[in-house]
Amino acid sequence: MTLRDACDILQADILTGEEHLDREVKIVGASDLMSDVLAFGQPGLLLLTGLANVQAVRTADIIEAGGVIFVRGKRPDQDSVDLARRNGLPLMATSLMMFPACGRLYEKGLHGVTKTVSSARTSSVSEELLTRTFEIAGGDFSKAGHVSMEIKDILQELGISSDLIRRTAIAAYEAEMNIVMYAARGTLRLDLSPQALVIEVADEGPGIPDIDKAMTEGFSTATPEMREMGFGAGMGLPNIKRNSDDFSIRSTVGRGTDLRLSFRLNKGTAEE
Amino acid sequence: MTVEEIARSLDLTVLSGGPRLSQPVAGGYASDLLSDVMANSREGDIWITLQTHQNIIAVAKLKNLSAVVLVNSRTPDPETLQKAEQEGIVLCRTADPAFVFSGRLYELLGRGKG
Repeated sequence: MTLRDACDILQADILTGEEHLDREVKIVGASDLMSDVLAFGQPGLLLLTGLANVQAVRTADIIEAGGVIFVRGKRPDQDSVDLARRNGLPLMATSLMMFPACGRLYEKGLHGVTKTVSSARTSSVSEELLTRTFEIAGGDFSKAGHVSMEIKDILQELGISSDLIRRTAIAAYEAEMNIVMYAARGTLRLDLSPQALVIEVADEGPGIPDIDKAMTEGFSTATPEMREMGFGAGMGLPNIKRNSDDFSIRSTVGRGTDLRLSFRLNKGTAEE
Repeated sequence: MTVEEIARSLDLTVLSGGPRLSQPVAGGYASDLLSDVMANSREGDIWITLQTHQNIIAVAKLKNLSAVVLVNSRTPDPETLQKAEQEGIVLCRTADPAFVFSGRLYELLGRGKG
């Protein structure tokens, strides 16, 4: 069937992409968690979701979905619709609940996603999903933690597992605090691909003369002020390392420090 | 149709059973958002989800759902299984993705007719 047929069956309104409704649909994925969609999505997939936000549109775009039908009467905001329009992604909305929406399409012969991760596809689009760069000002304790909280919100909206969100937020927060405490300024870049979440932190700071020592729990060069605020217990870098799946650090004294943390998505399913 | 009959017809693996297996099923509800299930599911529904956190059992109990079906062969967290047994919530697993299981249940319940 075509997207237009699916739209008729679900009595869905077309939000954007009218010109693409002749696209053929064979496979449907139903999920409210974008991490799931990222793991199992296939090109041309019709995505049914109750998550009506820009992340759903980005995710659909990344997996090269044929279209998205929002269920439960949910509608995304105008920015999301505009994004979809720019990317040629049709968006539709039905007031049906997910269950009957699935049922009606299933009985017309549409198939589900086969549970394989297409590595060729995922690697080719891994750059595009979500990239955000945040500026962090050194010494500005009033704002410290804002970036980590924002990252946490983004990941929650994406439906990333709570354990991964927690670990990422912890690591990001520690990295953010290090910039606030020690550097003049820095950036934190978040990159999400279907396989991994990567955080790269670069600061213009004093640099670390002895990285091994800095990685030792309890070692700290924090000032009494920092300690009063509850930081500088020498747990920062070890904690970042412990919470990430992959950790690397480079530092030049007098220039600054770069961290790269990565977190694997869908442990146990992506390795096959 | 009871939960047990549906489990048999649709090849569900019953992870946690109990007396609710013989309860009639009112319908299906597919969602991965707990707040949505709290707001919109109805008593006696089979809840189809890929969420495995123990909070699903609390939601199933509060809403008096007939069963929770984990899709994509998801394994529940150990606390989830333990809680399901404690609270007498039927917890099942299917290899199907949510779309396919929803479709099969929809057909089995005869929702497409009339």
